Amino acid sequence: MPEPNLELGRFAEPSLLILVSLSEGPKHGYAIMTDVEAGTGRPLGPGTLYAALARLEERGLIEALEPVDRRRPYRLTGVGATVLKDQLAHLESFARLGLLRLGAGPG
Amino acid sequence: MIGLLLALYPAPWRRRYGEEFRAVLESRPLGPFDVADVLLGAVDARLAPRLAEGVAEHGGHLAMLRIGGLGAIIGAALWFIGLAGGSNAEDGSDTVWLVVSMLGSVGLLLAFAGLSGFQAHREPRLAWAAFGIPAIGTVVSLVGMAGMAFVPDEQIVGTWSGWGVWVLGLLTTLIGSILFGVATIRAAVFSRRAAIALAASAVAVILVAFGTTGAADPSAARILAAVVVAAFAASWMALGVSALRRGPIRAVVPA
Repeated sequence: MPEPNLELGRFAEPSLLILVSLSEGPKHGYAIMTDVEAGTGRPLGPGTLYAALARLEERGLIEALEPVDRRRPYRLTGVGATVLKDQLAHLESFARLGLLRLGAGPG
Repeated sequence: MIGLLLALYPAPWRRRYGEEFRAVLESRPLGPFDVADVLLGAVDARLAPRLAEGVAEHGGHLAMLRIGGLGAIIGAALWFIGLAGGSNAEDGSDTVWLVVSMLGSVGLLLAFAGLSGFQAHREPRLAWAAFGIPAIGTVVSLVGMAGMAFVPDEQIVGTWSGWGVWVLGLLTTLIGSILFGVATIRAAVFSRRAAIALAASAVAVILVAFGTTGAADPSAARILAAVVVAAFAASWMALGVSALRRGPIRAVVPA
């Protein structure tokens, strides 16, 4: 089984989505929210967004930049990029295993 | 409505995230899903008080930045003044300049510690290696300078005189500064230009020191050495200014 939870409990999945969103460059809260929603087709609520952002920042996986018009952009740290890469590689190998089993199954 | 929802969050959380959170809530009409999500977020913020303590953590980062930045600016200036004054002083009258240079070295030590600590979260291994080597070099050069200042004609470590120990320490500091410059460029936390200048000027100081030994024109060699040493000190000061300017970006000052 993959362990994509980053030790973030129920905020593991939103955290991963936020890290992926920030992997293309710094974004502020609202931009992250809309980017995640566009990418997954599922809503990311503001409460969940900031609970995850606070945890990611606390762990040093993202960092806050200077606010622009009350909106504070966040960006991935070096550690955050490494953690994200590991998580995605883990998920990729797990997905590959699942697809392989589906393909090899009785169908 | 938004004000009421925000009031449900703990005060430290509001101080850190309140304004940007309000901007997000104001960006689109709030539906029932959003309201429920914010309510759950407020409960979470109260159940996880350590997130509110993030303010204190940021305060720690800010202190580290200030110490590192001021250490770089004041330390590099004193180090250069002491070195320049000492090299022009008559024999036996350079103790004051050595002490000035020692104070500068202590400042640079604080700069290594503060700035490395701040950027360690981006390039942990490199940042700590870039701290360790120049820090050891600076301590060794401090021992050498103390030897030159207080027991100038004696061997202080084995057969090494104070001057020999100082040169060894300075060389280590310069090599460490190159590493520190590379770490800073990679971490992209402080000014890259200042980091490039630091690494380049440290290389230049080493090349000039070795290249002009026994030079045919000693006065030209002295001028060249003064220029590259000044560039090295100026690069440290520029890094210090960059660190102090960066402060407000991460700093979240409690109201």
